[in-house]
Amino acid sequence: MTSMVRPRRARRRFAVWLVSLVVPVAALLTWWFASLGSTSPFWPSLRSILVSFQQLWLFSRFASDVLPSVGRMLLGYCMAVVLGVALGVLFGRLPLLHRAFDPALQFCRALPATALVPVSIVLLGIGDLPKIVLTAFVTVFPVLLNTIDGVRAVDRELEDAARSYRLTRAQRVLHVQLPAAAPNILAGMRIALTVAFVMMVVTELVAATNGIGFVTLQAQQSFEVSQMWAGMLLLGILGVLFNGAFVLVERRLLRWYTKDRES
Amino acid sequence: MSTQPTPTGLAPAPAGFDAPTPAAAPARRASRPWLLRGLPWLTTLGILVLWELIARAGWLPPEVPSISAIGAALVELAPTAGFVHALMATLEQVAVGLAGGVVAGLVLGVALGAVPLLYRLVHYPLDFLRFVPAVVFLPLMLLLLGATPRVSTLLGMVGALWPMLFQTFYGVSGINDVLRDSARVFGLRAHQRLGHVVLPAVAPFVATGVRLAASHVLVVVVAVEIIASVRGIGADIAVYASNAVYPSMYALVFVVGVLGVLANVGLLAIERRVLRWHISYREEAR
Amino acid sequence: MLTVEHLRKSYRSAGSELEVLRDISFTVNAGEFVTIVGPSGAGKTTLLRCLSGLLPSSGGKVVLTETGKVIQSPPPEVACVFQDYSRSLMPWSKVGRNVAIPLKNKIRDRAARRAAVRKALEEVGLDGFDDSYPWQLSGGMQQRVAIARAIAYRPEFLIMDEPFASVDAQTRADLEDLVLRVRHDAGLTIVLVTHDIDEAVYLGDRVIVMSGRPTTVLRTLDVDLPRPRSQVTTKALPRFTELRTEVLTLISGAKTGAAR
Repeated sequence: MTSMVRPRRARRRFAVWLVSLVVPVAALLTWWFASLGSTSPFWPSLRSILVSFQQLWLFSRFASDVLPSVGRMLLGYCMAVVLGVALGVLFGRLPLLHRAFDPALQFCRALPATALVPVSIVLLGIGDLPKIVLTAFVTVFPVLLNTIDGVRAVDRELEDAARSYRLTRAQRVLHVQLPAAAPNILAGMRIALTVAFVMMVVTELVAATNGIGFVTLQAQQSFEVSQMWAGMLLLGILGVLFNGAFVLVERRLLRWYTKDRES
Repeated sequence: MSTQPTPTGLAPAPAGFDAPTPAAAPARRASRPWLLRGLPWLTTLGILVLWELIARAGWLPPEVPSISAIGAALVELAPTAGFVHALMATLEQVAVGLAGGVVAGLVLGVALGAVPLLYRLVHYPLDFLRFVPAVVFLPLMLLLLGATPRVSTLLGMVGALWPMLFQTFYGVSGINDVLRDSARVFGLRAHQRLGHVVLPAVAPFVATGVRLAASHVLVVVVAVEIIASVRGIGADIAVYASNAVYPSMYALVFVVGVLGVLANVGLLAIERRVLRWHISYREEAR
Repeated sequence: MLTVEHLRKSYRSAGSELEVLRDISFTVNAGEFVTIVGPSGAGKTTLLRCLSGLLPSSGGKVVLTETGKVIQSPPPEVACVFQDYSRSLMPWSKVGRNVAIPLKNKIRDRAARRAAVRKALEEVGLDGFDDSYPWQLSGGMQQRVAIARAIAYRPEFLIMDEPFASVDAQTRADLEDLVLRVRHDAGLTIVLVTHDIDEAVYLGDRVIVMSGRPTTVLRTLDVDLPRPRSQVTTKALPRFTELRTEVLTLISGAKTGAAR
């Protein structure tokens, strides 16, 4: 019986998956063929966009522009995660300290990050450093505030168990508080990753000497339209890749959490 | 994406009497609630005073003015026509962008949530596009429309669309079958089901969507104003920055920050009032 | 031996004072199994938190008699099993790690620690489960993990807070017998709080009956039932029924007394 049911179910799932592909495939084909003979200066053919994509990014400008963009973003982001989690644990354990700085933290989180781009240029110029520092500064708050929430919500019974077995403060942070707060921390990290990516694009569109955003804006200003499209395409793909990678890591790390919830 | 920014506010009261409370001497006890309530404002004031003192002592770089200089610049700027127009321009772009994104997100979210086949058909493209930040489209928009407020409004809409669409979608597709069936058993008509079952179940998701959308729009609009010199507070920040008028630059950053706080805290307050009856808000108030 | 002397505990909340424990005194002899019962709402959990050093008392003290040590923070001689296994185990760690982490400071050697974990899991009948996650196990098995964690810690005293409150009746009987066996094998001294009168009489050498809040000791009863005990024969003894009725009468009296 079961051996009969299983292939049928698999076949069904495959059919459903095929249905999901209809629209994207149709859209890409339409784009390709409809734009093939395009003479519009704004809407070049998909073919020429892909050619520009290959010429630009694979790999002539990969080391000179793609790596710096991604490197700056990831460096700032990682600094923010480390700092945000560390401070978050501290604030989460010391409610008075958290209370004291809550208005300042809330203001910093609510401040639209992009407004600080000119400030970072004024203070630090247009090199790598201001971009890294700014990314770190604006992404630290979602991580920090989510970590605080997570650490404060650790179950008392679990804390009691850890304390009654005389785990040291450091052991309790490592084995109890951080894992228990992981769902919140990762939610904050995900928001922060999106913000970091936006900051990567915006800082390079405002002022830069290299980077994907810089190349894309240059292309637009010199009417290299298919190169501009290629730049936008790469940015789009990178945005999806970063999020996709994060979701995979998150799912792996929080497997216990979803399963625990289900049972 | 569905993560909600947590509301500001007091630490939750310890559950029941069983929670440990630190013992305190009776004399200190009387002064504590006052001190606790005032603490956040005292520290905030302390930070500002400290900033002022350090600036006065000359320990800050010339690019960082004192708080009093920033405050003076704000007071001076506030009544000028230039500031008012810039603020109005920014607010208009934000409002129109938000309204457009919210309406579009609502319609699409309801459609996708209610018609599973539709979701099946478009979820791959949607999952791709939602992770492309709105500012990525800026070069194209500048090419097509030039540096006009239409660009920031349009991109603001895109920024608002995604949180709104997905929150609405989660809300609609999450309405549980029991609820829907029981409404059918009681013989509610379609429009009654909409009013009594669908809307109440979806309302909190929509509220969260609007809140997320508002902060997204603000980020996008300010970015476009700065990058493309589209009329608004963002453009003025960039102008003051490049002309080294630092106190005014910080004053405007503060103004944008206040807008951000209003988008967050203000909308949350409205949300709590409007959705008082809802169980998750009742629990929060407990 | 553990001595509780004039233990008091009150909480302040919103300006008013709530007296939970009022003058509790008793002793627990080495190797003894003491059960504590009381009406719901009596400060049983508060009492255990004070005994295990998790909660500072408002007055009086808890003393480990051999060393004369006054308990102020969790001492190494005591291990706890909590009421809600789903909250006191770490869902992100496998069973083996859940048992091993408390041993980190006691057994430094990794291989020795692993051996201790394996032995403890064997003793509770969970050999082979160290690679499972807690949420993959049934409620009764999860509570066995919590018991394994406690005995692997090699305490002198085991403190249990309504450990079987959230499992079904059959599992509960099994776990009760498991605790009796483990206690016999390891020579543990056990203090167990429960709201189940049958359980208190069945398990204990002595039953301490508590009043409602503010809590005092109403009476201490010696349980003169033969050991080893058995769910079938012990509970069928007339003496069991007598003791049970006696405790029940005391608690019903405590309830009406508290209401007055």
